[in-house]
Amino acid sequence: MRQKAIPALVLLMSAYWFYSGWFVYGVWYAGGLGGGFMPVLSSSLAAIFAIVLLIRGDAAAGAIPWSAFIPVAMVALAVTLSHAIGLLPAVGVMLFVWVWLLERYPFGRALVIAAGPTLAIYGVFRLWLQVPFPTGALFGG
Amino acid sequence: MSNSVMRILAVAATAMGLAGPAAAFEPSRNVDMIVPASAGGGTDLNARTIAEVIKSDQLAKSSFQVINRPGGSGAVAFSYAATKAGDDHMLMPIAIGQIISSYALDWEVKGKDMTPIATVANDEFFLGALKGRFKDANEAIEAAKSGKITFGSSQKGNSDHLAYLLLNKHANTKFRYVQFGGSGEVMSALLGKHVDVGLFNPSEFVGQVRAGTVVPLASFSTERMPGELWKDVPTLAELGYPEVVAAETRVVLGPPKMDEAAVAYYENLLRRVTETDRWKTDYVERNNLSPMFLGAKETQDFLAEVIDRRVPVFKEAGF
Amino acid sequence: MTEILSLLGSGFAVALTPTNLMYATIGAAMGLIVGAMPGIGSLAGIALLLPLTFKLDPTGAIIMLAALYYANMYGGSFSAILLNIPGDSPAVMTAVDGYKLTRAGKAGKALFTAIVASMIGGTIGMVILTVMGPLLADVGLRFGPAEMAAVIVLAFTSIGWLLGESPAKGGLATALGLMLACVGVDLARGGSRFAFGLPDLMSGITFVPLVIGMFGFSQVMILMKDFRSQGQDRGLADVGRETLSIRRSVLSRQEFLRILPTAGKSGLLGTFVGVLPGAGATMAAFLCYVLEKRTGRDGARLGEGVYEGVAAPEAGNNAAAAGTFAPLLSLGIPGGGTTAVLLGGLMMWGLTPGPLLFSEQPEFCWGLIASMYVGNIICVFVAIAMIPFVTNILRVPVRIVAPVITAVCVVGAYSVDNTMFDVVVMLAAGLVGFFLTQYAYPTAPLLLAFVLAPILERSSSAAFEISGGSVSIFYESPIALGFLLVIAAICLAPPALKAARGLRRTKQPGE
Repeated sequence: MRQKAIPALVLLMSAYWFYSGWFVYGVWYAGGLGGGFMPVLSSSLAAIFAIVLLIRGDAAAGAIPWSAFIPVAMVALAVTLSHAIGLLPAVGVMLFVWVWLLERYPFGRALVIAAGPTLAIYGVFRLWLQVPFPTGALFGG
Repeated sequence: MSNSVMRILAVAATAMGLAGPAAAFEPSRNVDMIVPASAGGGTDLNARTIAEVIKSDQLAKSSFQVINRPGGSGAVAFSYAATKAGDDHMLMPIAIGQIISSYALDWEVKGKDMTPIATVANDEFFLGALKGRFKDANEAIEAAKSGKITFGSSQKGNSDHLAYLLLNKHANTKFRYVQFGGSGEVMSALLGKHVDVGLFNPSEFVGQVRAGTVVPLASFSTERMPGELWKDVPTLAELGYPEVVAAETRVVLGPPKMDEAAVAYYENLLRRVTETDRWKTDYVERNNLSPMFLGAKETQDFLAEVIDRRVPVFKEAGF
Repeated sequence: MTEILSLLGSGFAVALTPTNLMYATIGAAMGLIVGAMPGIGSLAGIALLLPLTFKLDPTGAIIMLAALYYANMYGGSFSAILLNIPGDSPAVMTAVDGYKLTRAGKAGKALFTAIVASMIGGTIGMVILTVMGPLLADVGLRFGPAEMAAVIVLAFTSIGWLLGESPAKGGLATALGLMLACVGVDLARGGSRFAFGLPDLMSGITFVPLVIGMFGFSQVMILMKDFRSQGQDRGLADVGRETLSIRRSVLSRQEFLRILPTAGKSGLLGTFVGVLPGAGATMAAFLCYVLEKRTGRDGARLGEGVYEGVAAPEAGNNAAAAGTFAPLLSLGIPGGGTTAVLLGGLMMWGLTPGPLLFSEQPEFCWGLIASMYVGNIICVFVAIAMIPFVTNILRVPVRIVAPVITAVCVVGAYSVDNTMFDVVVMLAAGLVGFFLTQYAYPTAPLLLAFVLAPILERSSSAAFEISGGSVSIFYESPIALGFLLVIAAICLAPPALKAARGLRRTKQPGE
């Protein structure tokens, strides 16, 4: 069943795209292509392939271990934290939590491992290229 | 410039009724200049020049840092500014086209929600065609009544589109709008004879005009642009279409509900920026802009005129 | 021809002055670093460094910026090959084979291939630019909206060659890319479509965060899935104890001879794509990869991690970078965002780009062209010198390198447009990319469709606006008609050939 999830989701998406393209944006207007032309074209294609894949099925892939989703959780953590403490500190905290708690490095080494890349990013992106990273609510708007 | 001069200017501004009764304002930290466009474009250059001039001529104590927020063709910067209502440490240098877009494309946050601070320069619009294609603007306008003449321009809902709609409405023409990805592509299409006329800022086609390959037929300004290349080009107003006025005017806005004292401070600061030699020669002259300065009140009136009198043409055209 | 040579010679005299040589070296070094930083493209890099050059003389300044521009193309491939994160969008296709080579322990040679191919492609582009720049620009002008639409349709038919083992899965990925490309500006009304009320989506999904997610971040997820189940952690690639010296990275004679025709072909195609209005280096890299896949001696193995798969897109994007200079210098027309910034730079120094630039400022123009040759060579040396340093990252245990790559993905995605929204886009694209890869859907066709679809929609809708809605514009233009006939031939040829072969086979026994 699981291997049919992708075509099923794409089929749902294509239904919405087709509906919006046809009824909301319009395929053709007087004298030119309407905004709905590409949505209708692409969703029709998507629907055809999705249906083929749904009927034919697919060899099941192996189970996905939970560890694959560690990076997702970590980025979610960094994004959430960035609202409070700013993006770069949040990335630093993310690195530290990951290396210390998940990869079980000793506290001191984890601190060093997290601080290195954070400082390098700060130097290149913030100081040199002047990327305006969000500072977060805690440290002055 | 010394502090006393600044004070006198501030007093003068107050006397002229531009500033409220507020006490003198001075930024207490860095000022963010939010640019609603990518690094490298016209709006970005405008912002960076303002920041540079303030720094090199030491016009202010705090530093002005440029931050690009190009998402959603400017809608992201507008939404961001709305969250910063009342913030006295944020400026948004912008092209009037994006203010027009906020109405034409119905963004959630619109131009009038912002606090107008000053108008700093004007980038005029010209109608250009290949040499020999049309004798003059009148011939092009006559020919366009057939509905077969194509008009190359960029994104819809912008000031280019406004210029086009005003021309079609008031000159009774039926130019066909052809939308390209940018002025470079419009120029390619014009030179390759894929479109008949195109809309250009002076800097976008000055090279071609000098070489004589492209001829400026008419300008969308109220007055003729000075200079050897432009002084003989009539305005559309002269040709009998006084309502056809459009340009890419460069305006500086503040977030909603900016404090009056802060507005007065920035207005005065920007006035002094536009008075420097660096601004006049390195920026305005080299980029073929027209000098223009309006204070906060005049900018508000100017924007209101554009929004109330010209922007409705989008609705009339069924947009 | 002799005139060009003498002009170029005087150009070299300008470019080879010690000061200008120094500017080119500084530009090249900065470009390599900026290019390797995900999220900071050549556009932002040049725009940020433009103010620094105001104090220089125009020739020196533009030499430095031009060096920065094409060094970017070199730098972008570094992070693509080593970490599977394309530093800049033209490096997308380099990541496909480059990262597989890295995992196979051939990172040094992959980097070397990228550098050599970039040099060959760039040089081909520049020779063409030198000899027939104005002519090339004129060819570009012949491509109006209808002709461009035909070219893009031709490019679309080539996606078929990228689909991989299961055409249905490749087709689904392509269609998904097309649907994602619909998000953003509705050309007909000017408003937005599929933006779901989010201002950040009103001009579409940004390409670079999407790519960082689909390649870099989904790769981290795969690393975390595979490596935790294994005992030993020796880093991204088993490079052994000894240092990855430059000598070990140099290609053998045979390897070099293998990539030479690839780089040559891609250089020619890339230059042509670079000249077309509204195309650009990313599209050039894609098309060169597809061309190699189709016509290369070993094309079928592209995507499994072969040197040709690195050489083709790298030669293509550097050639395209040179190609965009043709309309810029001879007509004053910027071919893309980055050249538009260079154009702005020219005006800041009081030069007027346009048809008169070559006759009024010959020293400047030829100095620039000559400096592009020189700068290209400088880039090669600077880039090769960096190989031993950058490949050290492969030694770092995965337990550390995975979190660090994640941090770079987050920061890189943010830096494109300075918005946290793009970090979320990166995360979502990473998840989608991970599941697609797990179930054997190819991601390259998705990205190619995403790049091509907006150009197709824009040019075909402009073509209809010109013709007033009539289809005739597509067959009345000889160029467009020619391309459409080629497309028809490509679509009909395989079945026709099959039929012919079938016929011969039935005949043979009777002979």
